[in-house]
Amino acid sequence: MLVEVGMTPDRLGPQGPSRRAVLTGAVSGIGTALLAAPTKAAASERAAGGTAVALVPLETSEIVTYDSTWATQHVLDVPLAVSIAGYALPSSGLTVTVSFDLRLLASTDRVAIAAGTASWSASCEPAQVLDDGTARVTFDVVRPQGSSRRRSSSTVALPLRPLDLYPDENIGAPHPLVIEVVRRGGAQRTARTWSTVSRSVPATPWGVEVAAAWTSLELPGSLGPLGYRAPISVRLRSTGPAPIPAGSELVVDLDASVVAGLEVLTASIDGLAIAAPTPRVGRQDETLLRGSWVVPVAIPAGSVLDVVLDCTPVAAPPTPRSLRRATVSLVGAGAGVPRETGRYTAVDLTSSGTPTTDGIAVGTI
Amino acid sequence: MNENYKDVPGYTEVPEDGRTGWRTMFALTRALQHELGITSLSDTFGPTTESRFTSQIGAITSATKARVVQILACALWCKGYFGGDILSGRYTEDIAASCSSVKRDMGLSDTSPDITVKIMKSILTMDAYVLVRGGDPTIRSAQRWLNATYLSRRDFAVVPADGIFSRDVQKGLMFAIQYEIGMADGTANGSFGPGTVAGLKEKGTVSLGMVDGTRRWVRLFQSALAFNRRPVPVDGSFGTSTKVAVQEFQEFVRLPSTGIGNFSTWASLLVSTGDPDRPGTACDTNVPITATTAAVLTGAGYSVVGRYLNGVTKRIQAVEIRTIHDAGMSLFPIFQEYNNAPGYFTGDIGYRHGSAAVLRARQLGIKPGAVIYFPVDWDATDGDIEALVIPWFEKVRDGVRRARANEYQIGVYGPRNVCQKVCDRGLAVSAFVGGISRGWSGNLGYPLPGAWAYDQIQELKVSTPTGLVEIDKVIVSPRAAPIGPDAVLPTPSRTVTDASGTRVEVNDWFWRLSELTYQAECALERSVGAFAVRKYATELVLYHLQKRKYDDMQFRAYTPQPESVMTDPVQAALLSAARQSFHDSAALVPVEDPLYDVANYAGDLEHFAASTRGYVQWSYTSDGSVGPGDLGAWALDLVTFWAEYATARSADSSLTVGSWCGYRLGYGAAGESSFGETDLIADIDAFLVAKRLLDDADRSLADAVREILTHDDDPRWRYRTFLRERFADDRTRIEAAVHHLFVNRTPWVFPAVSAKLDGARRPGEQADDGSVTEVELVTELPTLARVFADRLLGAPRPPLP
Repeated sequence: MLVEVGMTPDRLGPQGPSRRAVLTGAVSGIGTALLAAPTKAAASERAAGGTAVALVPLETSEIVTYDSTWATQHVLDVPLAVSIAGYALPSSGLTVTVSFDLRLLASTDRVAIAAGTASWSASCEPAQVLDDGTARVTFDVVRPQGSSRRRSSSTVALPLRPLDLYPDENIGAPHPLVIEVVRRGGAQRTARTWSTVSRSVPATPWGVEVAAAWTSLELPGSLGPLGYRAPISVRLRSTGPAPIPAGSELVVDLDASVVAGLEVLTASIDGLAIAAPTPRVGRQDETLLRGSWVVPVAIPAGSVLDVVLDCTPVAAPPTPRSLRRATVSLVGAGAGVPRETGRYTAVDLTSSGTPTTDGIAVGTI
Repeated sequence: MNENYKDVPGYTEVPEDGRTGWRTMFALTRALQHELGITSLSDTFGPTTESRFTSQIGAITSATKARVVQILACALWCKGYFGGDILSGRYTEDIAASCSSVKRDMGLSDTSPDITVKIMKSILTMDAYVLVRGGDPTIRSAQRWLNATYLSRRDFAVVPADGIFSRDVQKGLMFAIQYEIGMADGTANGSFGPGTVAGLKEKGTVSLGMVDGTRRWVRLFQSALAFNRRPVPVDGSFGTSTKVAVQEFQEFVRLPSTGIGNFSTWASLLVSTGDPDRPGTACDTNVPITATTAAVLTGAGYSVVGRYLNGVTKRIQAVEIRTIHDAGMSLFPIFQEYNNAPGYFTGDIGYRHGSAAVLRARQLGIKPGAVIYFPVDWDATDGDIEALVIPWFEKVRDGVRRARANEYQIGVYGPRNVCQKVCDRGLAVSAFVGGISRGWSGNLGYPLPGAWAYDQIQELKVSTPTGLVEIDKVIVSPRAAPIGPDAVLPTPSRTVTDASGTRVEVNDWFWRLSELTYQAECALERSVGAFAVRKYATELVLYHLQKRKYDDMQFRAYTPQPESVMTDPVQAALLSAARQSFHDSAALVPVEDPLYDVANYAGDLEHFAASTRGYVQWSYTSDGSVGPGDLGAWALDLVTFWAEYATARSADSSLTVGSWCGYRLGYGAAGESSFGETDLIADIDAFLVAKRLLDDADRSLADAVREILTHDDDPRWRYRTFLRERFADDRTRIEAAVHHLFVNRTPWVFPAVSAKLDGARRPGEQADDGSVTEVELVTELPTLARVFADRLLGAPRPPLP
């Protein structure tokens, strides 16, 4: 029997459930056979053999929302890939319909399918938006002509992409996700529903947006000096609803071949100075200089903690081959659940990994 | 990753918090480098990593070693794709399906699951290939098309397909354009250089009806329009909708609205300068504008000039404002004190700049409502903007509001991204875009902000008869509101002649008075109960000026400090604290305070202040009687003067009212007469200023004084105005008021006159020794009244008796 599996307990960390839940042998008892090479269908968790239609979720991802007061957490496990049993001849192909919550997911116009060594894509019908806030996308699973019949099931990477909910995670409970598989002609049908699990949270979630201002430390380059971007100022904005916990750690990683020391000059919350304790600064290895500073008090929602830093460059930095980018991160403390702001780390790079300004060292590695 | 690579030198463990991010990507990159046999690990997926990946792996397939497959699987999960079972390391059909999905989302036509070096490098970034929050579907369509069309070129990297225009998308677009021009791999560099300019001019023009064939100019042009927030179908066919979008864009950036994609339009789409050689009608400069310079600028087509409010040599003076306006130009003010590096963007500096800009604008007579531009004159990145620039502008705002809310508006100067973000946060209402530095992170990959008023595009040197003047050419939008003559009040000045010649300078006295007025308003605004006490700004300044000479019991009784007579103890305490705060700041003045330099004010400063306070507290009349306010000004001065005459007459019987008083009343410096010229001017100015303050509660002391001092070139102006406003230009009212002063037994007049006479006889009263003739007695009061009226009316001064 297939079991709808959610989070694995061993994935629960001190900050709550991890974002992704992976079916592992420890949970399903199937081990690596789950994703083993195609064999007789009966020997694996993939959908049973023959032409009977069946649907087995392979991997799921969690989507977490809250009610408007942030007191109740809603968790919806969303399958990213499913195995669909029932050999899909062109004459008797399978039609898959996915109903999903428009607030949480977007659909793509094509879906990737694989079976054995064959992989192909199919086009999806334009998503049909319903009045209840859900949408429905439909596609066919039809084995291409000439492809092998050794596998009676197909793996489908569902045409769903999770949307970035932040800062609107408190939209209430997600609508269930439903996948229906129908053999052409309607002779066979199966469907599965993933419903939301709701629970009270022991503590309202907190969140932070980390931003940093940067300066360029000079490094020698073959065609002239290059810059190494080091942080000179950090702003932590507490997004709420709960404060950033006291005891959270501001961590600054630097390239130890470029930066010799790190100091906190001043710290303030909403413009009011607070004591700026000396950070713990140490070389983790030859290349990593890490400074960490414990946030001494909780930062209320809407408030900002500003920290002014000073990085001391090494006396004679080498021309860089390998480079460790400077990063500024906040690591949370306590039992509160952190929100997915996507901004817990600041790095002076574009999303494509290129420096934001010209003349910055990138190394040769 | 931690489990398998924690012992690898150079690998940094990542927090196992379930959260993806750059640190996770760096760890994946280092893990991959380790698998490629690289020992000196780096966060960067650089040339060595690329070459080794290509030579050792080529493309990740089912034949690739497990560890590399695992790294790919991890990266797919981090990217939001199904990555299969990370632990197995097997390249399964599930991973293959995901890889195909990734490539399809990127826009690639080859959706085989093979992951080559460019794809892998992109996967190990924070790029998204799906529409993200705030992304535009048309932009995503263009991004995907760029990837599909040009990824095979050597130097073209995968661009994100997230619907967001960015620096890297801009670079990709530039590469694509260069390829269409015909540049080879290795020549195309993604920069808008001379070759690209020439190529666009030669080959890039697109217009209605054109359809892409082997060359893809239309689609590239449509992509550029989409990136600049002009959504059009990115389909390679230049139809009506594309033409309309072009026209709208051209209007927005102030190009001729032709609907044709010519070079100028391409340039405005691609770089922050646009075509820098296009004409502009504004400029900014740090060189003071003379009449000669203004003539050259207007002859070159410039009608607006940006000038600095501050700076020892670069700041604008009042006379320059007149010069600019006289030339038919208008101006926009900028307040910049360095502002060219992160270190200058502290809260204290921002607050001080905002406050100082307001004071300077007031001093120069710039009327409320004008936009003052505060620069961010360096290449501020996204992080710099969030961590430094936004907080700085919050403090600038606080500084601008320090005395009065919404007195002046805040504009921002800086690269496009800075301007857009500051305006989006509501911290500025107008943008002066610094577009000259095309390669700045804030300009490359950002469209022109929607609220742009001025767009700076080129550095120039203008030849004038007196030499070259450096200016920056600026394009003006219809949103600009430069300051014309109607938006500036005249500023008091004085003519100075010394060894270096004759010149016009600011009136230091007025400058200092403006500063004191501002300080008083700030002190009151800082008060907890500002709403209750802010109306006392004039009181604080006048008392501060008066107290050096006029702070005895008599004056405290006549014009008490309001807090000493308030019935509300809380309000009294607030005002008292504000007064002390103001005095502390007012005390921080240069040793030679120009406020007390007698050369700077024609009247007696302390006398003026005391008399003005009297009028403000007791109000004024405009008839032929004496009001309580008059007692603190001309009225009791006249009484003191009469007492002086009476004393002199008792010692010298030859003296007459007409000759003695006529020669001295309102003439001579302080000390020469008890009612000399400086006293009379002080009394007149006190009435004029007080009347203006009482008639308009929002008017400031400095502003009222400004009106008087700007007529210093007309010595009779204040007399004429006083005659009109106090006595309705009616001589009989003047004389009636004098009669009222000495004869009427009005309760507030008679005792005050008696006290001031201090035993001296009134006009028409016989002296104790009986020495005054009957004829004299009868004519004393009318003659005194006549002399007073003659003085006010400007009759010639009688000869020395």
